[in-house]
Amino acid sequence: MKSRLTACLTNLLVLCSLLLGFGQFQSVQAAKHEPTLKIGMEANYPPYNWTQTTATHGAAPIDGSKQFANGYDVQIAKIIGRHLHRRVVVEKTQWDGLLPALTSGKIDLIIAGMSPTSDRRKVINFSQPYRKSTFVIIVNKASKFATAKGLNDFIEARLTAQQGTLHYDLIKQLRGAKRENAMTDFSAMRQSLQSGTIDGYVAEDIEYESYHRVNKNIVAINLSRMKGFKVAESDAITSIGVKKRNTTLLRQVNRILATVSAAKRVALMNAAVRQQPRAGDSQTTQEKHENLFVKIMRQYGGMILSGVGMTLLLALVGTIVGFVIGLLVGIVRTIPTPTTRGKRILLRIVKWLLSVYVEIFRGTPMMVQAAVIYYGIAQLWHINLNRTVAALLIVSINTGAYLAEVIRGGITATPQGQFEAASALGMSHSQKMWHIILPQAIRNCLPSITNEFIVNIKDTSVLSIISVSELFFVGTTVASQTFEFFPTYFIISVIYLILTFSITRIFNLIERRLAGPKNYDLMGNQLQVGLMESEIQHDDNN
Amino acid sequence: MTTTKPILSLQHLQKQFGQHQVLEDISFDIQQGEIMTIIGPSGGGKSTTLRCINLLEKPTAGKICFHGENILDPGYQLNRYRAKVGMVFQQFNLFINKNVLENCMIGPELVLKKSPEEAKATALGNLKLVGMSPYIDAKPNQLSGGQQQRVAIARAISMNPELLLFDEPTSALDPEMVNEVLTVMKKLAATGLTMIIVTHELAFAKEVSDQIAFISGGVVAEAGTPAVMLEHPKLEATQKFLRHFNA
Repeated sequence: MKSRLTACLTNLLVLCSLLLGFGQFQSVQAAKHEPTLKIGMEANYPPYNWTQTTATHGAAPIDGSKQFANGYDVQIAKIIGRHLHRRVVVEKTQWDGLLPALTSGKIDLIIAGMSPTSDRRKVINFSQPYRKSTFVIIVNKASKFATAKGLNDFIEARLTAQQGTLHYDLIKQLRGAKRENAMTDFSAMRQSLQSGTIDGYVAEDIEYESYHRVNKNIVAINLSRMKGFKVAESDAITSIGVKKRNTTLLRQVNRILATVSAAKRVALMNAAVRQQPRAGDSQTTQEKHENLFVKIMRQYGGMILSGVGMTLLLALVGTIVGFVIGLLVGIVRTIPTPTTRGKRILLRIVKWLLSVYVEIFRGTPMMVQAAVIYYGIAQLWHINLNRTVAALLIVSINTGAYLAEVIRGGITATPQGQFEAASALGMSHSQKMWHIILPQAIRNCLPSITNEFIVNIKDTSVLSIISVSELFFVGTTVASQTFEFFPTYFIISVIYLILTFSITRIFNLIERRLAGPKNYDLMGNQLQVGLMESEIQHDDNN
Repeated sequence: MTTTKPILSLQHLQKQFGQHQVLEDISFDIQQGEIMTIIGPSGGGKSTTLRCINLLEKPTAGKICFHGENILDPGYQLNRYRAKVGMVFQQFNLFINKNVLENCMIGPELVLKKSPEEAKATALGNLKLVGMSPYIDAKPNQLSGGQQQRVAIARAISMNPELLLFDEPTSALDPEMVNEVLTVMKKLAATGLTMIIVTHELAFAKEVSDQIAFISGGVVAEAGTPAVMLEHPKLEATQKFLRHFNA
């Protein structure tokens, strides 16, 4: 039985690595000789930066994936990289993660269409601007706000902008406008505008240019030219972020930017606007008639599969390592009180530490743990953890905390008579545990462990906060490139369902095999738990 | 009886559960090869006495001397002692994750460090003795109560114990299974193994015992040979207890 289980798990692991093999790591292998220049960006903010699956138009590889980033920011980064003789590698990072990534040294520069606001200047340094922007509000042509001329013409307008940006604050200058919740990226805002949940959003002229190529039903209302509109000079420009102490790099970047002429910048931006990914762009007629789902799978199938591989890997390794952690913690927490004083105190300290561990990791969201551990380790100890390693670590520790309690429950639910019979034979504590109690406890815990595995498959999606390219993160990327939100997320949800469903079946099969011909007293459901308790009581009566 | 040093000697044993004093003062000796039966009313302290001997319960006061050494002394090798003192439980307590043969092999292998071949040979011999040879691959939950108890006895004697404790071995059995277990116990008694048996089977006690102790109210109220104890008990309490059974 045991070997069958091991074989089954090994097969799953092999499957994970095969799926991941869909190109993972190959990009990082190339051209190792030049030192890298790590650029932080969302790779999801066209035309400044976006993600693509090929290296066309001089795209730069995204670290830890087989994808590439391109856009105005990437081209600027490549100019800097060329002058510094460093190979540009993009660290795809969520907007809110950019500053911590820079201060913790995970990236060398932020080139992400970021404005050097005074708040940000407190934390990092900024180069000379590499672009000046005009602010606009993008609304539907048919909207009553399409003809707005001044700051007072937006009464009752539902407006939004990107979370944590200056754009969002600008809405306050529009009298009577309703500031809706900020959104995480432009794809979401476009979708909201289209579906009518908002009346408009604040952005730069360049966003209008890009969007207008896809959707002719929008207009831009120029905010910068409106009377009374105030914006700080530092806010209307876009600069490169450099770590505070890194003044040498800042000087170098400024020197290089000075060599890029205004004409060159406009040319780069125009090229970016032309090349950015668009829905319905560059398709043959035959492709246009193709089913949306088929199209997404054909174009992004490999990417999605490698996302599946990553998700399975995280869930599987997390559950197995978490199980081992849980087992050890569970054993230590059930050690009977030793006779000598020194050992008693030591055991009490260890038990206390373990319960602190369990409480902390059960009591905080995994998403927060991921951010704290990933950025915290980098900032405090200057250890730059690989994202996948960090993700595996977090899932394992988190699962361990949950399974520790599950296994402790399994141990205490084992009938007292089993402990006594083992003691009466003269077995030591560890002999009792390994040979008698744990085999029974683990069998009784199997349904809970299955459950934890399934939770892990779904919950690893929160690790997108540290940009691990698991299934959900891949889904977000695909959606933002195709602008097909519903079909993409529908495919993703079906994949999740297939994964969790097959795993439930596999584990049910294992459980049934372990149970043997006559039903074993599993702790599987409440009915059987009740049965077990009555048995224990019966035991105590003698 | 004999005048040699007793194999086990209980001296003024006390046990308290919280405020409840279960054992007031238990003292008795048992010689090598002797069979002692403990009888008495429920809640009188019979099982607790037996569980204290194996230290499944820790006595609050008193001494338990095995070959003259107090097992309650700090630093006493408890697991080595337990390996020499076998125990058969009311609820059998077979290891439910192991089959019949493994149940009988695990103790000798892990605790006595016997080779698997040697442990298997011993186990098979003992399973034959208790008439369970056909069931060596069965799991405990596939057996009847009487069968399980016979395996439990085989498990206990596979450790080659110097002393074997029985805690109401037939109380949890259906009446028709009691005899198969008692028959096995009689066979064991004939081999000269030292045994302490807590039981309500008076006819059995009369047949096999060298001495019978009547424990009630946490003390050994009366003790003696079966003839004296069952036919002419001195105490009113013992008489009353026996009347209840003979009625």
